[in-house]
Amino acid sequence: MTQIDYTRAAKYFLLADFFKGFGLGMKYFFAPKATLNYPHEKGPLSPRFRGEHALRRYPNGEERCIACKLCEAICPAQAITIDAEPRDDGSRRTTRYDIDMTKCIYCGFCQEACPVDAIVEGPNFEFATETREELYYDKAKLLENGDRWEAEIARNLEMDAPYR
Amino acid sequence: MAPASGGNRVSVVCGEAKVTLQACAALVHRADPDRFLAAMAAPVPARAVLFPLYALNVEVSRAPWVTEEHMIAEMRLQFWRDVAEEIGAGKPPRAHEVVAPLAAVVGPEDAPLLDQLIAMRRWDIYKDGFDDQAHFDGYIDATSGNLMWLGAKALGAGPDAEAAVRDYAFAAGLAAFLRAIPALEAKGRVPLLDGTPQGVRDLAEAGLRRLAAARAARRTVPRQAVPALYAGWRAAATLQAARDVPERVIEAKLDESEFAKRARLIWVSATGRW
Repeated sequence: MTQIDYTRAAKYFLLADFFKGFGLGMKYFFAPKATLNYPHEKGPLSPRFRGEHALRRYPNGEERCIACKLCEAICPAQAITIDAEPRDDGSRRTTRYDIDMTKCIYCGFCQEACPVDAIVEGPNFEFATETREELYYDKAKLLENGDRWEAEIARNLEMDAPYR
Repeated sequence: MAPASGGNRVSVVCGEAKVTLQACAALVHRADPDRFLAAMAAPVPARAVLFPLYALNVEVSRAPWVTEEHMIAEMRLQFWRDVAEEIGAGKPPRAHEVVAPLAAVVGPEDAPLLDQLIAMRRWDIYKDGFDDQAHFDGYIDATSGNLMWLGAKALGAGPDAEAAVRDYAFAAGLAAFLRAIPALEAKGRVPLLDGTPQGVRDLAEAGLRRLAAARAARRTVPRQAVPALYAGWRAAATLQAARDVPERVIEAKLDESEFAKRARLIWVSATGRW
């Protein structure tokens, strides 16, 4: 004679599977969300995140870059082009600082080579464009990026300093 | 920021130079707290000499560690060697927050010492150990010795003080090196020629002998140059600890208590007896 599994039958009769599934759904309904409401929310970024490039200034407004060209020399993608000439005060400064962002491989060598922390790869990762031409950054654009992201860049550098 | 007359390069700091000097102080404060405390214990005019030198030391010593790429580290050191060369040639300093005040402190005649200091840091880039004892001693003398001697010289020390300053700097540099050994080993370096307890004890005793020799010749160092030697205030305690219990080196237990550390600095700066 066929054995009847009364426990299973009782659970089936009382919709146990339904309530269990419903409970699981409600658990995740009230739990913290794994997803983000991008672009209004963004995930955490490491201080070492290598995003859009920026040229920084000193607190007195003077640009940091001293046109040593170490970044241009080390760039494996040859994405950086620098022209420089001395100023009236004798200091050497860039007259042209271009980065071809379509060539850049975001290796971070430029910022590692920079002796004055002038060129940095900042925390911004939202710089998609509609045309290639918009990704040919010039000095003005890089300095503007630096002005806009300075607070976060400085904080990231400070957080990373103990490990450098 | 023009140098004052004579051998003493302590000068009036104003305007743009003050900004860069503050930047140097901030850099030292962040990266080298011991030297920052030593510089702050010095008279105010002497800080204009010490902060640029210590800031240079921070920049040069961190260059090999900011990157895993040997070529980048070499390039960063080469940048500083170019700076030293330009100082030696009497060219206008680069518009760099450390270079500008440094050029006011280090004269063209001292540029080779600066270059030697920077060149010796190339050892930090690679994972090879020291070739022999002479190489090790040369490393400590070029890095710690040149730095302290440049500071003392800029503060007015004459050639007769060099031996005492370098002996003291050797002890200070050796003590700092011993404190750094756990970190160096964690980075996969081979910091000592003989890493056995007896080897460490012998090294510490050699450092203490140089310290005693320096102190015996204390009178050769003029009073105004003494602030340059404050940076070695922890040397004796560290070397004694390493000599007595060499295992403390690898266990990173060479640090004295914060109270003892600061009390020693206060004593040195108040009495001038280094």
